[in-house]
Formats: sequence, C-alpha cells, structure tokens
Amino acid sequence: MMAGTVARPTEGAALRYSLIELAGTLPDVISLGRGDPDLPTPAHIVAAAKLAARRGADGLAPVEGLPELRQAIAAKLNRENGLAIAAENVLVTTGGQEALFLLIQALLDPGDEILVPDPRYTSYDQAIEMAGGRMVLVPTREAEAFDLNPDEVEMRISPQTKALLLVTPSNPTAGIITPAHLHRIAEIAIEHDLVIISDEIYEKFVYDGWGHLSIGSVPGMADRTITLNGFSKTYAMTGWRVGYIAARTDFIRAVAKMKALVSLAAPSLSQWAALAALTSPQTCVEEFRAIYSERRAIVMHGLDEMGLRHSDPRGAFYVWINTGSTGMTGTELAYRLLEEARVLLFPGAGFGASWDGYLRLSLLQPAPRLAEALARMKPVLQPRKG
Amino acid sequence: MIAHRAAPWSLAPRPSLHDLADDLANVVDLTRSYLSDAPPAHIPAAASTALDNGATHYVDRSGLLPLREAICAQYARERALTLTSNQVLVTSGAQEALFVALRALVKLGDEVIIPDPGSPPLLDIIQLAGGVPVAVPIAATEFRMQPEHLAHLLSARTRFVILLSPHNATGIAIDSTDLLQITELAERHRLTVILDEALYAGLYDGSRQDSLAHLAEYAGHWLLISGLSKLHRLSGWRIGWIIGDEQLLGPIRDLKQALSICSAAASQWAAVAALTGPQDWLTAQRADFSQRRDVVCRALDAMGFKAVQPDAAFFLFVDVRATRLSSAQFAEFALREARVLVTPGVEFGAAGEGYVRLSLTESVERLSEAMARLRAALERQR
Repeated sequence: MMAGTVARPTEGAALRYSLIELAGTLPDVISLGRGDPDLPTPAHIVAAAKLAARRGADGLAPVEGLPELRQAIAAKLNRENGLAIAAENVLVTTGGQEALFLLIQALLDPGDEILVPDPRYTSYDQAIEMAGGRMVLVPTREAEAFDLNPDEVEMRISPQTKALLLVTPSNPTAGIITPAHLHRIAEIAIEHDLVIISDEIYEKFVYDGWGHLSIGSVPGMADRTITLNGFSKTYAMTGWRVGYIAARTDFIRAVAKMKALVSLAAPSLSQWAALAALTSPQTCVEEFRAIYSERRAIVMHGLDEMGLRHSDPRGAFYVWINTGSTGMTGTELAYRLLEEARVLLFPGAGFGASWDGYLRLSLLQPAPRLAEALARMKPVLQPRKG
Repeated sequence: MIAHRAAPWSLAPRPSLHDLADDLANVVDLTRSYLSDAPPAHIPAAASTALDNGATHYVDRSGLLPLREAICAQYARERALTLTSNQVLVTSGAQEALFVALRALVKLGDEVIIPDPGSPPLLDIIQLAGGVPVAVPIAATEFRMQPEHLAHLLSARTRFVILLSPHNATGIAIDSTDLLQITELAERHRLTVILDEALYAGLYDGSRQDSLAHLAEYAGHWLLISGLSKLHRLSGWRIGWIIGDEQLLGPIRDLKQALSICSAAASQWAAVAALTGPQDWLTAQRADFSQRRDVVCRALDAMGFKAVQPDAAFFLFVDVRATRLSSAQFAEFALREARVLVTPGVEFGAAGEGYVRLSLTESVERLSEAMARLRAALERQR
C-alpha cells in the first residue's frame, strides 16, 4: 500500500526526513529510525546545566568554546585516544553535524576530491557539495563486515585527492575499521599526503571485544588528522547540540572564523553540561554500552528468526539489515513497515542511492519495545514462501 | 591543508585594541555587543523544568512547535503580521539565521545590496556564498537607507537587499513608509528583502511598534530575521529565527538541518518562556537604556561631539570628525589617554569613517566615568 500521490524523495536526508514526517502523522509508531537515544541524559549532566543557569553562567561563550571545556576535551583526547592535543587544538561546535560542516568548508577547495566510505551519513554529501569538493565513494562490503579496505582506498587516489573521511564505528553499517586497516590507511595517507577526517562520534559503543583506535594517535598522523567527536551519542545528549573538532592550531583558527560566521558559539549551558559529562565518572557510558549490547542481541536474534541477513554490529547502535530475502527494496519496506506495522526504520537509500537493498534499524528503544517492534515487523518481513 | 577561502583566517591574529586593553588596568569597555546581565529568573527556570521533563532529545528541525507558535503570536500581537508556524524556522541565534538564509539563497554572482556602514560578518557570508556585496553609503542620509538609493544600484544581477533595522552601529530603524516602498520595489524587480531585526526589542519608544501587515501582500519577497540574543539577554542560549514565505523557507530549512539538525531543546523552551512570560522587564530595560543614552549624549555635547539619534538600544554612533582623527586613531587615543575602549566606525564599512560606536551596556555610573575621562583626555590635548 503506497499511499499518497506526491513524489517521494528517493535518497539521502530528504528520504529520511520524509519518513520521520510521515511517522509523525501516525499513531503509536515505534521509532527505530533516528540516532536519538531514548535514554535520558544522565542526571548529573543535567544538574550541571541547571546549576550553571542558577549561577548566571549563561552568557555568550567564546567562539572556540568555553576554556574549561576545551581543556577537558584536550585532556580526554590525550588520556583516552592517545592524541597529543592541547586546549588550543580544540574547537567546540553546535553538535557534531556543525563540526563536519565547518571543517569541510575550511578544508576543501572547489575541485578537491575527498574519499568517502559508502554507505554513508549523507550530511557529508551536502557539506562537500557546498565547499565545491568532489566526493569519491569507496565501497564497503557486507562480506567484509563493512570494514574499510585500504586497497579500495588506495586505488581511488588521484592527484586531486585531498582528504579521506573515516567514520568508525560506522553510521549506518555499524561496522568498524579494524586497527590493522587503520594502520595501513595511515601509511597510505602519509605516502599520498592526504588529510584524514576521523569521525569518532560512536567510539564508545563497540562490541564483541573490538576496541577503538584513533588514527590521529598513529605516529606521523597528528598534523594531518582532524578528529571529530561529540556528546550526542556517548552521553545521550542529542538535544544539547555539542560537538568538537581537534586539529592543528592553524586549522582550528580557520574553523573558528567560519564558526563565528555560521553561529558564533555553542549554547553555554550545553557546554557546561558537556564539561560535567567529561569530568564525572564514566559509569553512565558503561551502562549505556551494556544496554545497547543487550538490545543488539535481542534484535539480532529476532532478525535471525525471520531469516533476515544482517551483519553483526561491531559498533554504534544500529543494525544494517539486508532486505534481499524479502524481495523488496529498503524504501518499499520502510514505507510498508511504517504504514502497516507502525515501525519506523530508515531505508538504506537514506545512506546512499545504491544501498536500497538494506534497512537501518536503530537500537534506541527499550528492550520490550524492540521485541514488540520485531513482532509487528514479522508479517511484513517474513521471506516469501515458495 | 586549509582551503583558500579559509586560508587568511588561519594566520595568527594581529594584536588589536582589545589586546592592548587587556594589558591596561580599569578600562571601561564600550565595545560590548551583548548584555552581561542575567535574564529574568523565569526564563532559565523554564529551561530547567523542560530538562526535568526530558527535553534532552532532538526536536523538530523547524523548531519546537510551541516556540514557533509563540513567535507567530508575538508578530500578530505587536506587528499585525499574521503567520502560520510553517513560516517560522528556529535557528541557533540570529547569526545562524543570517548564514543559512544567505548561504541557501544566494547564487554565484548574485548581487546583494547592503548598507554601509553595515556588518562585516555579513560581507563575509555573502562572499562565502559566491554573492557580490553592493554597498550603499547611507551616511549622507542620516544613516537611513532610502528607496532612491536602491533604485540607482539595481542591476540585472541584483537579487537581495539587506536592511539592518535597528542598525547595529547607529541604532537607526527603517520607517514603515520606506520599508513599504523598498518592498514594492523588491517585488517589481523580483528581489528578496532580508530584514534583520535582531535589535528590534530595543526600540526606545515603547508605543512605536511598526505594523508589518503590508508585508503579507509581498510574500515571497522578504524574510525577517530576529532573535533573543541582544535585548532578551539570551546570547549564550543561541536562539534566533527566520520568518517568511513557506516556499522561500524550504531550502533554508534543508540547509539548517544539514548544518546543525536542530537548535538546542532547553534553549527553545527558555525562548518560549521569554516570549510568553512577563514583558514588563523589557520596558524597564528600555527606560534604563534611554537614561544611559541621555547621560552620554549630554556629556558628548559638552565635548562638542554629536551622536546619531538612535531609534533603539543599545549603541550610539558618534561623529568624531571634529578631532581630525580617523575613527581608528580616535579609538586608540580614547584607550591610551582615557582608558575607554570604543569601536572605530570604519569597522562597519568605509562610510563609518569619522564615527565611533559606543555601547551602552555599562551602568550610568561607568558611562559617566568614561565620559569624564574622555573629556579630561581631550582637554589635555588642547
């Protein structure tokens, strides 16, 4: 049942948002769409923002971010990620999304090529297009658990290639780039003088014993790596809008000017909240990981029972489902699941036009709701008999 | 590693008057463009309550519906402008509003008419978007942009006219008749008027609430940008908005979403409280500003300086040509000899030369002190 006569968007953010909007008009939808954790921001983080409001610490922050927060981010990056970073190498942004937009504008000239693993978070497309850059896609494969293959990267390097984007763990595939591959990619970057953008927004959520490696910590990489991270995913803080970029000081200065033109500073109370998140015990992150891990098991089991192929997520909080067994595309299925089962999933085409054989399911509902969602999905998803 | 567009920004900044001021004791800083006073308690309290109620998630990319409705209600009440919530896009401050509007709409080679003096970041944004800024010197017409100004500058490539009202250097607000004529002209020539009203809540005469009802006839030819950073003392909360025709807003909304997904949830609830809660504190604040303005203007008169008569808080644009100093030289003199930091008019454009901007964010006492020091320094020069 494909309702409506208005032409529907076929890919990217437009497709995702059209589904979100449709979901908003339907009753009792279980949303497994957006990457917006259902879990509330931990109370001690909220309390820090409220305290900052009470003590009048709500004035406009410096464009680069509150000094205390930049310092705490630098300390975190040294301690946890092995990056030799000082506060002046850090710029706080209005969410990770703004971080990627700003850094792309400060990095790419018209005609510059940037290698982007595919499927991908398509907001990068818009940022690259706006800078006049040329996106060169590097495929990742289900058979390789969506790891990024260094050979696939190297064979696409041209004289115009300026940068390589790495997103690990990956949105939407929930794959990771394995440490061995990251080391090889670092060699390639040095050899071909490439800048690496390392989007590590899902770094805290890895499973099955996998770890996280920040490529900026690999010898020789510090000056050519731009590390992007934020608070939305790690601390369930999507509504606060705080992210950050860590890079060389000259690059940070250029981004700061861009930031001043785009939106001045990130919200002050959000920055105080982010400071509390970094400087308090990290048990909340451990708890989140345990919760997502449990949900991941429930969903993988449910999908297996329905005979749906999926790769085991090594990171993030998504499951990337292959729709081949259903005989339907991701987009067809997403509309059917929404309209018939009242479950919102994102079609693979939301992450690149050639990926409509997939669906992205986010694990951001309580376990019983996930179970309920799977039960509702079953009649639509069950492979056709005969 | 750095793109050409950003390369000049990557250099270590040259020392400015602000750096010099940092090294001096007891400087009165009259360059501030934000109030440091805390907003009334009901506003942060609303944010706290919202946080307790779980406002920690993404919200609608257009902005929280109750906020968009509060914005609509305010324009209906104060400006006779009827809007629907689909004609409002909430942004992370008026700065983001300006950025997304211009970046989404201005195409390569489009000419954008802006006042001179104007706003330097505006020039940068227009150029980033590939547009060509066309400056209208407005000093000779008492710093008022006139419809005749525009008629002379129109070319086949003119697409936008930006009006700063009240103006962020002079405090001059465009009057209704001029705005109507400019909008008519915009419609005839298929232009879009972008009306930046970030300082609107500072208009001195509380009764002077210009109707925008006539704009309804020109939907599609204007955008209005405003926010809560200035007079509402919410600069750190980052709330602004764009209102305009739904179709015009479409690509701007897409860019805003690509740029920052949505604006901070708790800030938006604070903004709801700011717009729907008590408004009398704004009236009292305007009275404070007019007292500060009067004190400073009297002191300036006594020194032989004249300020442009502002329509709104919170700046004074002061003619210092009698000193025969450039605006930058005057600012340096004021800092070195009187420990008073002011903004050279030339920073707002070539037509601002000969003027300095004084910000009235300090108390009457501090402002009087600054004026006394300035007067003493000038007398020492004689």
